[in-house]
This record gives sequence, C-alpha cells and structure tokens, in this order.
Amino acid sequence: MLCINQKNKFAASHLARGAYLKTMKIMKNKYKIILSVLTAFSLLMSCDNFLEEEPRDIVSPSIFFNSAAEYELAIVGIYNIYKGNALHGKIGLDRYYENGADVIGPNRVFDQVEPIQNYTLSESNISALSQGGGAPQTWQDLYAIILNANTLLDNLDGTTVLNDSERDYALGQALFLRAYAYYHLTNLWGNVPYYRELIPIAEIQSLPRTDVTLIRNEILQDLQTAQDILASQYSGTNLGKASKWTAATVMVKIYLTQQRWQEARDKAVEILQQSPHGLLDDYAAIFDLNNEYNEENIWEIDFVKDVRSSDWVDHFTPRIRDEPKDPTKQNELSAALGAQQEGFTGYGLAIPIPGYVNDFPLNDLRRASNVLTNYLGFELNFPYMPKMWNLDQINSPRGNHGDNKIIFRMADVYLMAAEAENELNGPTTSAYEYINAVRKRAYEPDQDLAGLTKDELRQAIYDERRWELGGEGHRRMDLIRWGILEEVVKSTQYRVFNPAANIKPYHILLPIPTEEFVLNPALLESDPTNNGYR
Amino acid sequence: MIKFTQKVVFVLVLLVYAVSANAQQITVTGTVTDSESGMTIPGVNIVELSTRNSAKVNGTATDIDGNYSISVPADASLSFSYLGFASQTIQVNGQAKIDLVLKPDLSNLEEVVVVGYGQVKKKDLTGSVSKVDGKDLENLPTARIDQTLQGRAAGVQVSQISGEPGSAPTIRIRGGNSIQGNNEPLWVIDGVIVGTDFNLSNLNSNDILSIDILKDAVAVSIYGTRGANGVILVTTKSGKGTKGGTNVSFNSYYGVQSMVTKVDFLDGPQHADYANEDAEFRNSALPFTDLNAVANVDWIDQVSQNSAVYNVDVSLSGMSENQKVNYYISGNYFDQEGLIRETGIKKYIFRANMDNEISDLVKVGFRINLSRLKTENSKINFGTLYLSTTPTRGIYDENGEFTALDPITDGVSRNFEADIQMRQNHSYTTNILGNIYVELQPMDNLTFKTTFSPEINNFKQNVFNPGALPNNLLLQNGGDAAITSTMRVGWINENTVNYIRDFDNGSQLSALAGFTIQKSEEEGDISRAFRISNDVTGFNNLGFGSDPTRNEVASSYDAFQLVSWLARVNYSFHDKYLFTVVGRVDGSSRFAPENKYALFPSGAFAWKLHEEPFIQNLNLFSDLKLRTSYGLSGSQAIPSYRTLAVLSSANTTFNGIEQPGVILGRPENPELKWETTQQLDIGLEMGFLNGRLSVEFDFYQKNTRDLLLNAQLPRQTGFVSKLQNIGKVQNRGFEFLVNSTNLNKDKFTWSTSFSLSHNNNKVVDLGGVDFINLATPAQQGGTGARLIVGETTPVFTGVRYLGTWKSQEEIDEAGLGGDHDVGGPRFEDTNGDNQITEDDFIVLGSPQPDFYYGFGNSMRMGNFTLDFFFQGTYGNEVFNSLTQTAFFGRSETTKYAETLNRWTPENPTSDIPRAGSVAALSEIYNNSEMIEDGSHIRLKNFRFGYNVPLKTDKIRGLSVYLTGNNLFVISSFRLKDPETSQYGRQSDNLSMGFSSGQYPTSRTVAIGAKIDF
Repeated sequence: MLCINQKNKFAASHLARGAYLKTMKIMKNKYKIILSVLTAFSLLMSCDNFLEEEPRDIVSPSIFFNSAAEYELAIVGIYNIYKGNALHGKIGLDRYYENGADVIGPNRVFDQVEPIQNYTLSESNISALSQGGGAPQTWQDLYAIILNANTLLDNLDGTTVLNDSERDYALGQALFLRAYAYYHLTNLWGNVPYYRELIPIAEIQSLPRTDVTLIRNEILQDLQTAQDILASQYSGTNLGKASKWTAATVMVKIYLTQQRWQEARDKAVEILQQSPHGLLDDYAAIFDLNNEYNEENIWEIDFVKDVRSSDWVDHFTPRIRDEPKDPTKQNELSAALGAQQEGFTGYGLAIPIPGYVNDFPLNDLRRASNVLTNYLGFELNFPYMPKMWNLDQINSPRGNHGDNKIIFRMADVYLMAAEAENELNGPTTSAYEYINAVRKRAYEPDQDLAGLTKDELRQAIYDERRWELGGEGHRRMDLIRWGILEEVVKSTQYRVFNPAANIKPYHILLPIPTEEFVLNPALLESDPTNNGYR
Repeated sequence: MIKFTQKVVFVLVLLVYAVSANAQQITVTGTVTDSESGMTIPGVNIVELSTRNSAKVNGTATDIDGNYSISVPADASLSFSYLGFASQTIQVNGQAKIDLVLKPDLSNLEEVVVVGYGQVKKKDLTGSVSKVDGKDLENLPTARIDQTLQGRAAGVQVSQISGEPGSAPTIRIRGGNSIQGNNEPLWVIDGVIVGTDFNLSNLNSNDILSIDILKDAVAVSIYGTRGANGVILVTTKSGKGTKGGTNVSFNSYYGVQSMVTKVDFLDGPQHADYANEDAEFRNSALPFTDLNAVANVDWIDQVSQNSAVYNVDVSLSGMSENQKVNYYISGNYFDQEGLIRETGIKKYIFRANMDNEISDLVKVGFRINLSRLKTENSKINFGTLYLSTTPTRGIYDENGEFTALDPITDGVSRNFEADIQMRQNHSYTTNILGNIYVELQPMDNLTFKTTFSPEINNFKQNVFNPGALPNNLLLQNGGDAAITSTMRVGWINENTVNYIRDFDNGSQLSALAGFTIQKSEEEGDISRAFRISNDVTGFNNLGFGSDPTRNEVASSYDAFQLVSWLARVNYSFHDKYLFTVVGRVDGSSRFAPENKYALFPSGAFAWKLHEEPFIQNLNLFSDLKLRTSYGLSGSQAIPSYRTLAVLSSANTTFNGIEQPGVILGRPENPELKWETTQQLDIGLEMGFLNGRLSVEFDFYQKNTRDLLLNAQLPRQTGFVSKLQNIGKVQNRGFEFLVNSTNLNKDKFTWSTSFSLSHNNNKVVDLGGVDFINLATPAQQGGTGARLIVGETTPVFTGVRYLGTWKSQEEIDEAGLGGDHDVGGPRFEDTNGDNQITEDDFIVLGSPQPDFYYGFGNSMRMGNFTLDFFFQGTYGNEVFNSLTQTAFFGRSETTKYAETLNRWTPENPTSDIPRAGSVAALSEIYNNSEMIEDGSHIRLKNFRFGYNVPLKTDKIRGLSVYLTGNNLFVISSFRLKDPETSQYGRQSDNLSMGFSSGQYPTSRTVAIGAKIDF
C-alpha cells in the first residue's frame, strides 16, 4: 500500500532513501532483497487516487441541471429563500413596507421596530430593524435569489435536456424570481449592485451600485418575458408559484413608481380583463385561512404549520399580558379564549395606529376586518387587525402558523388601474369604474364615487388603498411614490414614538448596511452619503 | 602533560580490553537489599553491561528473597536496576559474591516517556512532554480518563463543561491555535491515532498505565497535520514486569454523588410577589391574586437526585517463565447515575493485550478494546429549567394532572417532571479498537514494525416524546420519535523502521522512518416520525407516525483518507549534547488536488549541563538540562468535502405540500489548506538534592498562520462568508512544574507537585478586517463575543451596566431615546449618540485565564496513603447569559435570590432593577453585569487508602480506599461552577466561557477495595 505523490516524490523519497541507505549498509543479504523490493514498490505507486474525495451525500452545482426535474428543484429552492424570515417569513419585508406609514405600529416601545417606525434609522441600527437578521439579511437573501437565478439561467442557455414548454416554464420562473428580488432591492435602497450573468464571486464582491432606472427598465423587460411565457394559472402542487399575472402586477407597480401612467394603466387593465382573477364579494373571505388561493389573490406565498410555517401572523396577534382593558378580567378573558381553543399568544407589534383607527369610516364594512377593539365581550386595550391575526391554538400555535402570505390581489390592481387612469386622463368613467368595483363590497348600500376633480379622485384613491389594503405591505411604498411620506407622517397620530419630529427627506430609502461597504468600498463611490445617512 | 596522561589512559584501556577478550566465565551470586528498610528486594534486573543492546542479552533477576546468580566473564560489568531505585554498575573483577545495597532514586530521570512512534528515557528527552502516571488516575470515580487529567500537567487546560455522565471536557494544550477550527488535542491510544473526538468513555480508566502529553514542536510534528493542538498518548497496561505466575486483581468501588452547590433563586411566594409587582407597575392584571395559593416548587431539587456510581474491574496479568510472552486481560463494569434523574451511563469494557517474542527475529502482539456504552441522555435542558421554570409553576394541577401552562404567561411550556418521567432518550455505543503488530529484528540494532489498527464504532440513539406529555396533550400533537444511527469503520496501517547505533565514544544515533496510510468512513441515518397515534410502541415502530408531511428520513456519508511519510533522527553526542530532527509529510483527501500534501519539519537540541564539570563542581544540581526546539505542525481543521461547492436542500411547500428544492449552499474553495503552527520552546530542567526536588520551566511561543476562518463576503454575493486560510493567532506562555519529595522516611513519605501555566493568546491578523463578530449568547442581546486584532481570542463584548436610574431628573438629563423608568436599568451610552446600540459595546472580559494550576500532595504513613489534588484558574471571565433574564428580565423567568433586594420606592439605592421596568429582552443588551469572574479553586481529587497487612500467602495484597472527586469549588460565580459551557464541547475557541447554568457537575465520594491474588 505504499504510495508516493509525483509532486512530493522528492520529499518522500528523500526520507525513504535515508532509511534505505542506512539499512543497506548494515544489512544481511536476505533482508537486503526484501527491503529493496519494498522500497522500490513504495516509490512506484501513486497516492493520488487514494486521496481523491468521493463525496456521496452532497451534490455539486457543476454536475447539476441534467433534467427538467433538476431545474424544478432549483426553482423550488428560490421560492424557499422568499420564505426566509427576512423576506416573507417573519414580518420581514413588511417591516419596511408598513412601519413608519399611517396604518401599522407596535403597541409599545420595541427596539426592533423603533428605527423605522420612529425614523431614527441609521447605518448602525439597521441590523436591528427586524427579527430574522434585519436589513443585512434581507439584502443577502435577495442577492442569494439573484445568484441562484443567474445560475439557473446560465444553465438554461443552450440546454438540450428541456423541451420548449419546460424551458419556457424554467426561464419565466427564473426571470420573474430575479426581477422580483431587484424590485425589492430598488424599492428599499434605490441604486444597488446589479448583475445578470453567472460571474465569479470575486467579481460580484466588488461591484458598485447601478442606477435604479437602468435596473428597473431591464427588469421590466424580464417581467414582460416572464408574463409572455408563464402560465396564466397554476393548480395542484404548483399553487403558490408566480403566474404571468404576478409578473404583470409587479410591472404595474414599477410603472406607477416611474409615473409611466399609460403603460401602468394598460398593464393593469390587461390584468383586469384577461386574468382569471376577480374580486370576491366578501372582503373577510379573502383572508380566510380556509379559503387560500381564492380567486382574488394573484400571488400567495405558501406556508404550512409544522412543515414550512411562519410567525408573521404573531405580530398582528395580541399578547394576553396587554389585555383586556380591565386588567382584573384577564383570567376571565383567558378562560373565554381557552373555551374556544384560542389564545392571545402573539406579539402585538403590528396593530393599527390611532390615526388609522380614528380615520377609518365607521360605516365601512371592511372596518371589522381591519380594526377590532372588542373581543368576546371584553373591551381591549389596543385595536387589532383581525384579518391578519390567528388565535387558533390548535391549528395555528404561536410561531408555527400555516397562514399563507398574500402578496398581490385584484383589489390592488383595480386601485392601481384607477390611479393610472386618473393621472393619465383624469376622473374618467373608467377611473370611477375601477375604484367603485372595490368600493362595492365595502358599503351597504353602495357609496359609489362620482363627480370628483382629478385631485379629489387622487385623494380618494389614496384613502381607498389605505382602507382596502391596510397592513398588507403596500402602504409605505405608496406614500413614497406619491411623494407624500414626510407630510403624512408629520400629520398622523401615532401611539408610541414621535416620528414627526425625526423624519427627514432621505428616509424614503434605507442605508446600505455598514459592513457591506466595509467589505466593498465601491458601494460608496457613486454615493458617499449612503442614501443621505452619512 | 595532559596529552601524556591521555595516552597512558588509552594504552591502559587497550590493555584491559585485550585481557577481557580472553576472560574466563565465572558465576557471581549475591543478595540485593534496600538501603532504607534493609529488606531484600525481589525482581532487581541484573544485566551484563556489554550485552545490553544485543539480541542475546545476558541477564537475570533477583528471586523472592533478593538473591541472584549469573554467569559472566570475570571482568564483566554488571548493571543492577530496579524501578524506583538508582541503578548501579559494578565491576565484577573476578568476585564470585557481590552483595549490593540499592538506594531509592528520587528523580524521575530513568522514567520512560512515550513519544510518537517510540519511547525515550526522561533524561534523554529533547522535547517538552508531560507524563501522568496511571496510578494517579486510578479509581477516581468518573467515566472518562480525560476528566481526571485536569490540572495534572503543566500547559494542559482541561475544563469540565458539563456534569452529564460520560460527557467530554474540553482540552487546550498551550492555548488554542485555531479560531474556527478544531482546538482539541489528538488522541493516540497504544499507538493508534483515534482523532480528536474519540469517545474516551470507551476506555477503562484502570487499564491505563500512563498518559504522555506532547506539547512542543519536536514532539508533535511527527503527527504532521494533526499535531498542532498537542498530542495525548495513552498507554495501556501489559503483563510486562509481573512476577510469579498469573496476577489476578479485583477492584471495586461504590460512591455517592451530590450537587456541589445550588444556585439561589427566588422561591414561589417571593417570585409571585415579584411578578405581581411587575404587573402592577405595568398596569397589567396581577398574575397571582391569592398569594397563599402560589405553588412553591424547588424545580432543581425536583429534577435532581443524589446518585450512585459503581465500578468493578477484574484484571489478569502475567508473564511466561522465559519472559517471552506477557499478557493483560481485564473486564470492567461501570455504572454512573447522573445528578439529573433518569440520566446516567453504563459501561461494559473488555480489554486484552498480549506481546509474544516468537523468536529472536519475530515479535508479535495485539491490543484490543471492546466496549459497549449505554447512555441515558438528559430528558431536560438544565439551562432552560434555570431560565424559565419558576417556582410558581406547580408540577400537577388541581386534578392531579401535569401542568402544561406557565402560570405567569398562560403559554404552553414544558413540564420538566413530566419530561423526566415520560420522555425517552438514550443512546448505545459499541466500539472495537484494536491493533495488531509484527516486529522483525533482523539485527540487534534494526527493527521493522508493521501495525494494522482497525476501529469500528456503532452509535444509535432513540428518542421518544409520548403524546401523553402535557404540552402534546394540550396541543393534541400526538407523540413523536426519532432514531439516529451512525456507523464508522476506519483503519490505519503504519510501517516503521528503527535503527540504533552506539558509538565507542558514548555517542548514540537512533533513526526512525515510516510510512502510514489511513482511511475512515462513516455512514449515518436518522428517521423521525410525528403524530404517533399511540404511546405503546414508543420509538420502536415509527410506522405509527401519522403525519406524512412532517415525518422525515435523512442519511449522510463521510470519508477521509490520509497517507504520510515520517522520519526522526536522534543523536546524542557524548551523552551530553542531544539532537533531534523530525519531519512528516502528510497527504490528506480533505484538500483540493493542488493542496493535498505538506511537510512539517522540526528540530531540537538539548544540553545535559550536569554532565559538564563546571556544573558538577557547583555541587548544586543533581540534574540540569537545557533544551530548545523549533518546528512546524499542522491542523487539518476542516471536515471532508469543504473545498467543493454544494447544493443544499431547500425543500418548501406549494399548496400545503412539501416539494423538494435545492439552492447553492456554499461557494467552492479549492485554495483551502492546513493551518500551520510554528512553535519555539525553551525548557530548563533542574534537579536538586539527588532528585528530591525537581523543577521544570518551559517558555513557548506559537504562531499559527493560514487560519481557517469564515471570512466575511459582502452580502451582495448572496453569501455571508467563505471559509478561507486567513488570519494569524499567537500563543505565548510559560509552564512551571515542581516536584518535591518533602519527606522520605521509612515510615513516612510525603511528596508534593505543583504546576502553574500561563498562556497569552492574541489575535494577530484577521485577513484585513479589524474584528469579527462571534456568538450571541443572550436572547436579542447582540454580539456577545468578538475577535479583535490585538486582543485575546475571543473577548466578551457588551455595554457597561451603570446600575439603576435613581430619579426622573437623571433620566431627563441623560436624554437617551426609548422608554426609561426610575429603578430601571441604566446602560452607558459610550459613543454619546443618545441611544444604546451595539455601537456602544466595549470589551468586557475574556474567557482565557491568566493562570491555571494544579497542586497535589501524596503521603504515605505506614500502611496508610493519602493523596489530594487541587486545581483551578485565575483571571478568566465567564459570560453568564442567564443574568439577562434572572437579573433584568421579565417576571415569567426565574430570578436570582439577590433580586429580593431590588429597587423599590422603599429601597431607592438598590442597583438591582425594579420589577416591571424591562418590557422586552431586546432592551437588555449584553452588559457588564453578565460578565463574572471565573477564577476558582477546586478540590478535584481526594484519596485515602489503607494497605491491609496480611498474614496469608494466598493473597498478595489487599487495600481499601476512600476516594472523592470534585469535593468543593470556591468561586464567586453566580451559577457556582464557572467551567460549565452553554455551547457544550464545540472544539473551536469561540464557544469557551459562556454559561447559562448547564448540567451541574457533581461531588463524588466513593469507598472501594482492591484485592490482588
């Protein structure tokens, strides 16, 4: 079994030779022969084969992508990153999209919410922004999606193992999933490092920031391709994947942000007219755990208790220690909840702020789903948003919820259509048609809007979005793209903190986490102020 | 003149030589006696000196009455030697009767020290090696030999991080070289390299003859890529040296273990009071409306017990009449219950060792150890018990059922009594470790040796959580169970050639060369089932798991191969100047093709100063040796396949059903290579008063480079880090060892040993960054430990705790953001930005001690013996993360008893925060209150024995003994034992020194007896 590597033959043979010469000198003949043979043998064999690693329980990406099934594995994996705690798993992305606006806030001083809710955000506290690793983790996960999608796209190039429909499916999914990552990156940080090819990590790690307009324009093209080739609807174990209408919805959002009203309107109308989605009659039914993947919802992120659960629900669920208003009745409330296998076992960190509760029209049928102040006959200390909570202790215990996260739904598209149409052509019949479609189920009898000026309709759409989509992860981005974030924050009533005193114009973007530009100084080159934070 | 004398001497020598060549054979007889007792000594080795190194040694030994008889040339020299006595060489000069009186040798210079691939006399050692005699470790009532090493050897820091029976301590030899790689030493058992994580529970402590610890470069570099953290060589007993047929030894002890000290927490009513005060301050409902109805459960008492430890071992040893065959066979049963109920370890161990000199040419032998361990693993996590089970939590509710809810939060939480009674969690280990060798000695001074050493290890763990557990009942979860098993098969083949040559001038050359090859494979699997519909079958029928979405199976495979070439040359010039050169080339499968091989050379020089006339003339030293060594050793501190990029599993659900998925798991890294440690050692050995007092001092400096570090990548790469060879660490320190025979009278002897070690460990380079954040031990408390260039690895970080806010004015003046209450905790805003964030963190301490030490005494008075051994550390800090909740936190967590004296309006000077002032744990960043002094002293071992005088020949010896372990520890640490570790035995440098109250270590007192037939 003696063996020698070619390269180190010298070192090894030197050792062996030393021993050999020493022994030769003093050896009797018969041993001389045996040893000579052994030594010669040892010098002839090679160890390279013996030292080769033969991994058997791991897969290397270099030998992957050999079948449609393997492409599917890679697509599923990217979806799983979106379910991470810093994206859609815990409160994740919604921390940036809801806190610090005029709908949601915590019921108490809580340091993971404070920087963004109170506009004390800085380069150093951005890591503490949310549970699940904070903004650096959000940043990393989005880029992990991009890297994985680039790898997949690179392997799609010229592959012969997929037929056309398999290839379209894989291409459409990868393009969408990557574009959706850049959509969030540009929403949150503006100019960001941008790469679309499978390039070495050594190159990626020194990329500077790229202009946001360029990124948005290119991902709009990707999204259009995705819309063209993805399926209109999924079923079975594909439910929860992005369809062509998901891609189209993201395009509408980007067009609106870019104030490309015509394109926004056309795309939104395309969805309204051609997609299989429509509005449900009952607002509360949209959020019913037993009514997942209903007609209204364009895209849901799938969660399952015990298997792939999340705790975003807990942020909306009360804590028993805060409730009810009369502390002496706490045990009674516990007992009443317990009797129907419910519990206030949440965090109470995402609840309607006083401004939202006060402004919400009392005759709006959606109010019951968005603002709740009494439960089981007990007056509560804080208002809650029951469409987002889950009290069921058996099927949805703390930290282990199966509630899907609704990302996009039709009411959003209707309101975006109304907004684009109003901006483009003013308060036209179509504009009213779009907004009133949403208002139909909100009022009994109907309170259709009519006869408003363009500005009044714009304001009505702004308000409608607040009531219709409260807490669903759109509000802060809406205020930012309307350019009214600062003004709204300064005039909104909050429960804790004093954001009005702190908010600055630059707060429309997040700072890039400090360690990023420590490791990649190129990030500061185009913007030494780091989005205004330094 | 001098030249003339030399010539005369030379001529005389020649003459003597010429005469001797023709000398007559005569028979010499005589008696050998002990100078002190005057008693005859049986078993003294007598050898004709000139034949000592030849194949045909002419020698004999004294009989039972101390008489001997040997036939030698009339002019021969006879060497008389006996362990423990100074050897003497006598010129026969034709005398037919030579009676000799041997004097006890108080020095250990003749002691044989085991080094890698050989052994050497202590006096000829050029490296730094600590030897621990197996006798010192005998019958100490613990499951593992490494647990008993604590404090025994200078430069060897052993920490008992958990009291769980059979749990491994951490060992650092001369500090940790690596930051994220392995820092545990390499274990070698009877020449077999078993790695860094061999389960030493597989050995019977009483089988061990000696333990030798290799520390400096020249000693460890023969182990190449695996030597950098030091090497511990275990030698088991053989039948060599036994006299008079088969020796049968029967030994047994029984002991009782108890908790050394208990942590003080608030009791039930006190805690209810705290919780009410907390709720009242927050305007919340009082959790306890009737203070008389509050439960008061001492959960620590509830889950722990005074437990038993029992050991019996039987050994047979012997040597054939012609001394060609010797054997040692032993059997051992060891049963240790844990301090936590329903935990423990049972060991069944069998060993057989044999050496057989078949002829002058061929010698064969084997060592084989078979063991079967059954471990009852803890069903509860002691840290969690400390953290969250308050005394107000009743065990049973009013219906006599186990409580499932926490009385303060009303949330579902574990009932530890139910866990102990109902959960099952045990594991079995079956291990076979052996080696078989053939030694050929074609010439007197040339030896070839081939060994083959297989190891087979099977591990299986069964876990079952019944559906009847209160939390499972409440949530209607059903039961769940898991079975884990691993099978490891490995072998090593080592081939060496050894050559010794004596020169006429008293110089000696010995050379060793060798080739070794090793392979190890491990296969593992785990199966898990959920919602098991009944509690009858437990883990034995996972098919009852009725939750297909959660049921889980997984398996794994791991293998590595190593080939090595090694060589060592020792040359002693005139027995005064000793030179050693060592080298090893290792090739490892774990590294990428371009990096598979590396050479680790080293060299040493020692000067036996006491052989020099100018030292002898001082009449001060009985021994004086200066030695120095320098060289390289390595650490292949990465697991297999780390150079390759992998796809990792990323399964997820669609429409409620799990689908398989993959993502890029880590980037490839073909540049990975070994960590390399350069070490310089300078040692001075001094003996005084004929060896009665010996002092050994070593200074060393180790520089480790190419550290395997998870270097940060900017996250725009999609990854957060990549394992790379960057960074440097330095360890510098000294070791000081004193052995003294204080009294050496016939009826009374008393000896003392003392060792003191200092290691200064420092981060030199982190590959361009100033610091790296490490562990976050406390919940949402931020980074608790950091690597900072220029500081110790690691340092604890946090904010400074300034006590409580004493007034509203104080709060207003400070102007800090957030919510602050009078009586609430106040932290220092170091950077003055009016908020407390991680930016305010400062260095608060380090887990590395300034000194650690061992102090032992051994006394014999007539038939009584007494040994006791202290051990301790000085100057290390412990990060007690329990303080975050038990001192600051909310009322649903346990509270230190000291919080009785908390801030209240009536007690406004207290610096213990008021109840209710902390709403969320995230308000409590790591802080100085959590950093505690870890200095301690421990009475580690105690042994009192009595050799019963016997009137019969049927029994060779009978002794009874009282032995103890860990009898007391003096420390100011809140959780009492500063050695326990939150992170268990992760073998890196980062997990040290964190504690949140782990499985407590026990005090053991045992009584036993040993009979020799």
